[in-house]
Amino acid sequence: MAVEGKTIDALSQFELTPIVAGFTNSNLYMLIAGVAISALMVLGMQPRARVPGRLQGLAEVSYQFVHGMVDEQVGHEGRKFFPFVFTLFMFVLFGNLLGMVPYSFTFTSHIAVTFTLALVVFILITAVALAIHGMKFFGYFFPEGAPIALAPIIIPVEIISYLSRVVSLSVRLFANMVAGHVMLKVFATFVVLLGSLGGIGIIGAAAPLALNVALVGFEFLVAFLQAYVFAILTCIYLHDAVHLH
Amino acid sequence: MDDPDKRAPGDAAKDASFEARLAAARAKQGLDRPENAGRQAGSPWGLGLRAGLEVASALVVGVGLGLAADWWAGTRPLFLVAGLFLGGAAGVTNVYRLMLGRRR
Repeated sequence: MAVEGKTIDALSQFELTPIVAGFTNSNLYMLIAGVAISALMVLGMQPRARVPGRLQGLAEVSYQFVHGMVDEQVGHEGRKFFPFVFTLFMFVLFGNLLGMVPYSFTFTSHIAVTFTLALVVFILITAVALAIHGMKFFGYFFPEGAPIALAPIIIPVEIISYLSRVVSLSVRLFANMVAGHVMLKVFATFVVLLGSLGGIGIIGAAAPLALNVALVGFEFLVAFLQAYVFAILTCIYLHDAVHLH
Repeated sequence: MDDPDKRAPGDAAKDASFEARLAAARAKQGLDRPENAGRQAGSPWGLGLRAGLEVASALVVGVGLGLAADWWAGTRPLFLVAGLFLGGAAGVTNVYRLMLGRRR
């Protein structure tokens, strides 16, 4: 698959292949992520040990990490959003990490998936703001004290700025995952192409191989970082929705 | 000869250096979180890409809304141009807010 026709084929890894009609490999990995998260939380917390073992420790650390983040960012009223943010964080994190398993599929590398996730966040923050503040929510689009003559400019700008959250949230995750996996594939193909030359090529292949080792480590960092960024931006938007300033 | 007045400043200096070293060691171990932890991932590249993304996404939304309004009203270039400028303005607003930091 990597070196068919001696060209670099970096994008075939993102192709959807239907397993059953209407059920693609992307859906399969979403299902695996859901099962893995449930298994981690349910099986990990099964012993209920006072001194946690490794699996229970992992479950507790991830729980406390997100709990601390929601508590710190959204504030005390934000605790009711913890289940939502936790689910979102774990789903994105497991999607990114499952993509690091060789031969697997990264469902967070599709804009359709990340945009849907961002849209869910967007609808939630708008609904929360409307539920808490009612009509006062629309004051968000026109800061008090601004001259009324500027309203035709300020209001569209604020609305576009508000709507652009969906785009930036989804594109950030999608672009990071695509860029990382394309880089991995390109440098891996360099190794194979150079190695197939034999002799001096094998020596030359050492450089992209070493780079790929570093890139794999970097990709694990990105997998965690992007899940964190997605969750923390959700928290910041929730904070705006709850406190409205 | 045990002169307390002479020893005190030296001890104070030692204490100060101990505090400084303790703080440095704690910071190294990540025990004390720096004030701005978790605000923005600090690298200039990351910040630049974030700012660029904010501008680009605001532009996309502005142009998209403009095209949709044109399609609805049948005034092809009018709202597209308006949306382009408003989207650019919204992008600059986004970057301004990003730099300001969202929390007070």
